[in-house]
Amino acid sequence: MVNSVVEVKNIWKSYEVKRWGFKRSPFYALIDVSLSVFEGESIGILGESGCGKTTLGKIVLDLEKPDRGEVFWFGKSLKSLSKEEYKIFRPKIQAVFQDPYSSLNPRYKVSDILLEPYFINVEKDKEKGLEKAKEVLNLVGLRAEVLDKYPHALSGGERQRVALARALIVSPSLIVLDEPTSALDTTLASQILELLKEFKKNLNLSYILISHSLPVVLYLSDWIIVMYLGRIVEICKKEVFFKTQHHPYTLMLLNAYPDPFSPKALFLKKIKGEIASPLFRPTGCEFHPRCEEAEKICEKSTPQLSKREDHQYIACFKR
Amino acid sequence: MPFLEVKDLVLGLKEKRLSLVDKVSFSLEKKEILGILGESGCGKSLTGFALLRLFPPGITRYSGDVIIDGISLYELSEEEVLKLRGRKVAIILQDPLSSLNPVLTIGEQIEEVLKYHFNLSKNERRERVIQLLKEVGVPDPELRIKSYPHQLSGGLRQRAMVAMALAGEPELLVADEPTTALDVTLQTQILELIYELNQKKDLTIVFISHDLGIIRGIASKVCVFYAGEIVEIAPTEELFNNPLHPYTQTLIESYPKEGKIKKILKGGVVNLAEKPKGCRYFERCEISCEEGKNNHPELIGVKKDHLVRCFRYG
Repeated sequence: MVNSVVEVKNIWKSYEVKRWGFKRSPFYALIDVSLSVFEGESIGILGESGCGKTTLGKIVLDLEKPDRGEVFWFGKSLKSLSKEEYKIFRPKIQAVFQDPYSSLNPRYKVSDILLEPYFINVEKDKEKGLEKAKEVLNLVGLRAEVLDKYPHALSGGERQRVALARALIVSPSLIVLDEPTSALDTTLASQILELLKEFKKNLNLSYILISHSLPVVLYLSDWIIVMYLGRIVEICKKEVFFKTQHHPYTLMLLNAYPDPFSPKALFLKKIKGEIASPLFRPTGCEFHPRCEEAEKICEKSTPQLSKREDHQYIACFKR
Repeated sequence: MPFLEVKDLVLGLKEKRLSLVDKVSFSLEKKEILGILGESGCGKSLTGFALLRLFPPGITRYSGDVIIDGISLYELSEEEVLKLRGRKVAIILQDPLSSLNPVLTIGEQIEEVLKYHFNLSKNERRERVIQLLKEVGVPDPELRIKSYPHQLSGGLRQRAMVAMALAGEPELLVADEPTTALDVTLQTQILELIYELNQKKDLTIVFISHDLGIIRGIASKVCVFYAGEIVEIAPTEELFNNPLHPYTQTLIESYPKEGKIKKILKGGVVNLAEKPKGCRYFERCEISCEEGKNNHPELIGVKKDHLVRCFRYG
């Protein structure tokens, strides 16, 4: 049996904003989100900025606490974990962020960057640590010489590889990848993507890949989750992605993506409106103001996520 | 005569002799859209700025000229360039949050262009600003002119940038990665807007991007840059259907398609400070021909309008 690495159940998360300096108004970044990631499986989360995908990543990493709902690591609720168990599980869930310029400490040499998590989570043995550091650097395609360099002396692609090595040094089971390639060029991005795919196969890693780029998500994920304004609107398995009907929002994203493999089709597609502010959430289905197919019912009640085909769930009245 | 002509443009560092953009030449007819494709640091943005005679600190022009509508940009005096910039040629930049002035309302910023280039009364200027914002698809322009950049969403900010570029009624527009900071859906909207301007106002556009999909969607002709040089120029469909340079070929094949990547371009760009003698793509090239090791290939015409810098052809 395959075990779940991470599971979140009915998560709600709200933040407060101060408006006019004193008035506080809450807004929901995540509404009733559930998902689970199994061993060796990767999940891609697709959506525009402000749809809550990064917040979801933070909750999985236990960097943010949900208002309601529960997070499970290896089948155990975070609420019931003892201190000792937490210490064992914590390093198993790692993260790589979008911008390798700001996620690496500029005053640390690469060796310090890699050794810090090793000392804390594995053991305080410099010799073994350095050996392991060289091993993971080799995995990500960097030479051992970079150990003595500072991040500023590395190129963008090399920096992202160091960030990846830092995640790998503690032998994780799951890595949350928050837009891992959007700060990189196409050529560098494809190098990093290939590495990630290799690790998935060879190290049996799971990923939660957060991205707004459809090709990236399709390349790396087994399941594709589409989010809109804090809600999951579609879950679809990659194998059937090009064979089934989709949520209107997924279709909009699909159409918006400029495809270098087909001639001038860019301007036949009309994209309506912008993502609404979570402070002024539309009634009913959140997507209805931008939806081509919206009807009366869409303005009044919110569709629930329900099974459509094998391997596909959609939240829409029209599908 | 072409509308825009760039002749053997060489740009480089001020302090020491190191060219970052080397002998770049291309020409563009009126209403054409030229796409400039390349990795970061390949000199595509420097070339874009040079079309307005603007340079980032520490960069200067060594030789070459830019001719816009028969006017040699680099033979003009400073004052003459100021009159031209914004009026004949304008630019849209990548990140509207850092390129708009945060302490002025967008109305004031657009008005500044009108003040400088046209002799209009205050009311006329206001009317014009509202009209411009309406043209670029900003809703409620009467209210929006009083907004500061931080009060607008990313998409609206970029629209305000476009309105500002259009205020001087330019004939040539340089768009330097105008959608990189935006979501895909907004990206499509901004690209649509730029394309519409090209169609309706006969705007000639130089569009700089590293995204193959965008370039194929918008450009009529493409220049591929590599390490400061043009390695291939061709009409868009010709370039994508029949890429000749090994770099262009790998670039297209390294793009994820339906969940697969055909080829990965290994390694990094050559270090120009080491003054490579041979072909600049030699290290990463699949063929790595003998000739390319020590000799530098020239840009040669293979077919009509299709030029390539590679020893394999010629």
